[in-house]
Amino acid sequence: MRAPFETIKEYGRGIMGGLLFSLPLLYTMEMWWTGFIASPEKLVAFIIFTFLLLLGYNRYAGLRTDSSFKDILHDSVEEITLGFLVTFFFLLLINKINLSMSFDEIVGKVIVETMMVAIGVSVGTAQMGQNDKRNSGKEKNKKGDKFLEMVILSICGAVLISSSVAPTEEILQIAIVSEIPHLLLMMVTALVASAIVLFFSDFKGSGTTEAGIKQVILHVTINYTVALVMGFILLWIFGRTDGFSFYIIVAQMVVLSIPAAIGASAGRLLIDNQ
Amino acid sequence: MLKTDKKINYLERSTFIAGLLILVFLFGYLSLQMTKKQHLPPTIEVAVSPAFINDKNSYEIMIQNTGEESAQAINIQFELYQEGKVAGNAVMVIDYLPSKSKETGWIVFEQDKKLFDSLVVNSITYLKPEKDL
Repeated sequence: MRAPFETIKEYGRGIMGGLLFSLPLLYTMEMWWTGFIASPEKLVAFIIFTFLLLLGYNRYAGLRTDSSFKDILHDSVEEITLGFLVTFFFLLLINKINLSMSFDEIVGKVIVETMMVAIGVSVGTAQMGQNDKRNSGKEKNKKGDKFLEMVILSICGAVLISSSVAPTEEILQIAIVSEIPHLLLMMVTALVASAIVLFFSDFKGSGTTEAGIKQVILHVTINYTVALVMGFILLWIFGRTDGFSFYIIVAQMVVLSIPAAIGASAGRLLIDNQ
Repeated sequence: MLKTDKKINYLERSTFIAGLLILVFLFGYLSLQMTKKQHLPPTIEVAVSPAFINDKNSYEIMIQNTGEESAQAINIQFELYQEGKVAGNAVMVIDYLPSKSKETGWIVFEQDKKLFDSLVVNSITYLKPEKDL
């Protein structure tokens, strides 16, 4: 059993990580608005989505790979708790929640921000610890697990990086003014950026061109699919799909796919603890 | 959280229990909202009362959303009357007003307050944010 002092140090690391990764979102007014505009059904879906992300991240990057589901569940709940406390006190600090507000508004704002902070707590705890302690007991995943690990870490990376811009009005503005050639070029940019990160720039944990063109295409395609799907989920959560035409929704997904693809590639390599 | 030992201490256990309670509360509260809410549209009510800011012709404005949905892009037009005729006007704009929430603002006219008899709300416009759930 660890000493409580060690736990406090770890919590401190998690809280700082949570703030480091999600501070822009705590200062973003569209995030506060989402809190009171979103329906209860959407907020429930958001909590479940985040919890699944935390389970996935803790399974493949935050914990020893031989941990049981119970351990992973335990850690994910702890991260939600820290995320909730950090968010609640931070929103109080910047006066974005106060006693003159309706309870619905306070709960909505805290839920939306907590979910993003909790992901930051999880990544921060795993990434900001000392290397010798962090890697103790780590084992390489089995080969069969590698694909799932790659997809889950890509999802976490895409969400972590693109969530800082997904709720903003700017994504919609860019989507509205973009012509089809712009959108096609954005897709090419996202695909090229993924390929560079994953195979051509010697990122930590990346592959090389020796992997072969088939591997490059496979990884870049998976990466971009993750980026588009996560982009859509984030747009839906932040109310950017409601009442818009199919074209505008797709255009927003493409606009958001650039940060999401960079997150799914560079972000994935960055947050992978192995 | 990164564990190097699978046994947990009292602090970790307390945090875990607190987290479970938070999640149970949030799911319970949101479930209750889902069954209780009738999704009535936003309803904006405006109350005007005289204020005394630097002895100028000023009014305190209380805007309240008594509906069950948030209101967006609220625009309230006011008219200042003098002996039955419009002698001035003002506009108040609010980005969002959540359900069951209120905002307070002030309107200050530069003219002498003795010349005017009342401030009335001429029109209120607002949007209901789109939702697919």
